[in-house]
Amino acid sequence: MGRRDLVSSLVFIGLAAIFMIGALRYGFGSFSRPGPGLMPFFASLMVIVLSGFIFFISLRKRKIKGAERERFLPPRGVTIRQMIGVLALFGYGIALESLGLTLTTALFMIIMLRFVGLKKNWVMILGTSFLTTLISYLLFVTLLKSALPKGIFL
Amino acid sequence: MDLITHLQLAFRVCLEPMNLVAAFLGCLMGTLVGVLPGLGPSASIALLLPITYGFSPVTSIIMLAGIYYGAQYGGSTTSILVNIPGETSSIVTCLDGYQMAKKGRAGAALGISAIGSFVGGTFAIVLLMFLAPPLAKFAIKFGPPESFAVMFFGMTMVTYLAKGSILKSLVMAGFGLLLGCIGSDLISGGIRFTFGIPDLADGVGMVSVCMGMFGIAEVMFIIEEGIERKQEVYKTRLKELLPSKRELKDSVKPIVRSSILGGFLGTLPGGGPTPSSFMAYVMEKRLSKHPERFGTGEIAGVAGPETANNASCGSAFIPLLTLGIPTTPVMAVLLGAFMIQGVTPGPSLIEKSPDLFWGVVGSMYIGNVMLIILNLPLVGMWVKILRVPYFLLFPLIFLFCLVGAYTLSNSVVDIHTMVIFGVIGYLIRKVDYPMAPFILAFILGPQFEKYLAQSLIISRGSFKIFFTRPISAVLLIVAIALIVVPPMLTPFLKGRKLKFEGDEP
Repeated sequence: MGRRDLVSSLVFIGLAAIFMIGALRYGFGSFSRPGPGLMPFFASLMVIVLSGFIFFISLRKRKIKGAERERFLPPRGVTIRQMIGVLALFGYGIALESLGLTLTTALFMIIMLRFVGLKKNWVMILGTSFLTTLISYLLFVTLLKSALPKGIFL
Repeated sequence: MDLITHLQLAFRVCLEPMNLVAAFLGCLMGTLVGVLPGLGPSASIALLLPITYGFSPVTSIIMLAGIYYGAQYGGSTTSILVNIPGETSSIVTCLDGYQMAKKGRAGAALGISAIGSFVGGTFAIVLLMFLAPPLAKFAIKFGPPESFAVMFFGMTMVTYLAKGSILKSLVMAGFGLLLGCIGSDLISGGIRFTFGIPDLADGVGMVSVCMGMFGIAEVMFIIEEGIERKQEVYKTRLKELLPSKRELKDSVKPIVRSSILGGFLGTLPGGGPTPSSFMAYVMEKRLSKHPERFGTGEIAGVAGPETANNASCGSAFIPLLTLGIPTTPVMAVLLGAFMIQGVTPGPSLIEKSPDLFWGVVGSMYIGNVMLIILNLPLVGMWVKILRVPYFLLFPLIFLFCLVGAYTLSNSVVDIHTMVIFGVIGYLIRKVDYPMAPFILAFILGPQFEKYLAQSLIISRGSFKIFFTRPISAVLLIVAIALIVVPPMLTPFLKGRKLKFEGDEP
């Protein structure tokens, strides 16, 4: 336990507090007629109390051991690639309905291979993207008959 | 006579062409998932859930079940040939399996692993056939207090056995319950915690959450650990796939013992393939006349764990199908799959949907046979797949998640939910909070709340109802003891804890 536990416990306390406020607004009812707020109140109370324990235990350990340097996130380059990956995932969702399956998939694969996989061979990147797009179309549209947006191409 | 009738039904259902194809595809995909490190059965089942929408409930469950027990077969291949476990339940197989490969006995290791898996799996199916119907008849008498107590016990066991500190496990369980409160309240019918987002009125999508937390998060770890890592596959002659007579003889008792151990453990919440394989290894080492040989290529060190993990896979279906209680995260995802198909596993399942129950049982027999064929003579094919570079694999997994999430309800919201929970899942694992308690609590939460409320309405607000009924009293007392007693005993145990990773992806 260390700094990451201090921060994570505070995050959990914060989230649970939001639920607790909501639970109080919805109302407990009574034990004989439980209201919509009963379960969320006690669940959030549990999270707050236990996260509080984690917070104080971590604080105590930090004071005893002194400041510790803990690496939480991976090296900068890797974190950037992960963020590009996450943004590309969000972007896929946004682009899918307007551009359609084929174009969105192709663009997604190009971004993944070039900027996350760090491949520099454009023949390989474009070839793999094309092949993946084709297989995706055959699998999801032709074989599984999924209702995916066709967009501006197929 | 009953048993024969049931078996006839079982094979009639599972031998339907569509169900046969589903069983085969499930076993194939399960083996693939098992072979490929990084993608576990939880993630795979979650990823493939959308595909099963078009199938009947029987066909869907047969395929998804195939993935689960298929993954246990596949996981041992990489453990033996590459010294990298394909699944957490195959970690312990690395210890002796890889050593056998180094001595030129890879074929024998693979062979005994497949044989042990087959025997363990068959034992579990027999257990399922004989135990499930009477257990279901007993459980049909359960009222809301008993159902609540069973769920409470299940969640507590998973929390207790999860990786990491029990405080963190409990926090995750609480967080899962909170997330399960989003959407409509089963008792009052009101809408809660939608934060003004209309799409949350039906709750947070279970499939999106699972795909995100298992699939997306896992790929983020693959990116972190390095896409360029190369796997050296141990090259050996795979022509001799059967162990020698001596090795077979030495494996008989471990296989029998581990079948029983795995079969029993699989029925307990938290007792999935991973703890079963570890316990089997420890048991065999303790009972062996030559414990010093373990870790150097001892056949019992492969036979025992591989038998136990497959046995526990099959027996885990007993509490799921008869009580509606998932004992591991994978079972929780399968429970979700049942619900999506409009089927409620529980005491009345065998009565109301006998074709589903017996069809799954029959498909497990057939699946076991398919798997031994897939994993022995076709092992060379899986070895080739291990050579697929990660830079190709990870975007494909992402893509599968994306398209799968969209097809849930043709909504971009499901994609975004999946990605958000992917990031959350990644961060949660980075701070060493276990996911198993969260997933179980999230999936069971609404029902858990419903049974609690119903019990309190019946008892007019008195909690005594849980302790005046023997079944719920026993389960709740054991569950509470599991939470309260270990911290009291910690100073005396001098830091020794029995913790397993459970069925983490």
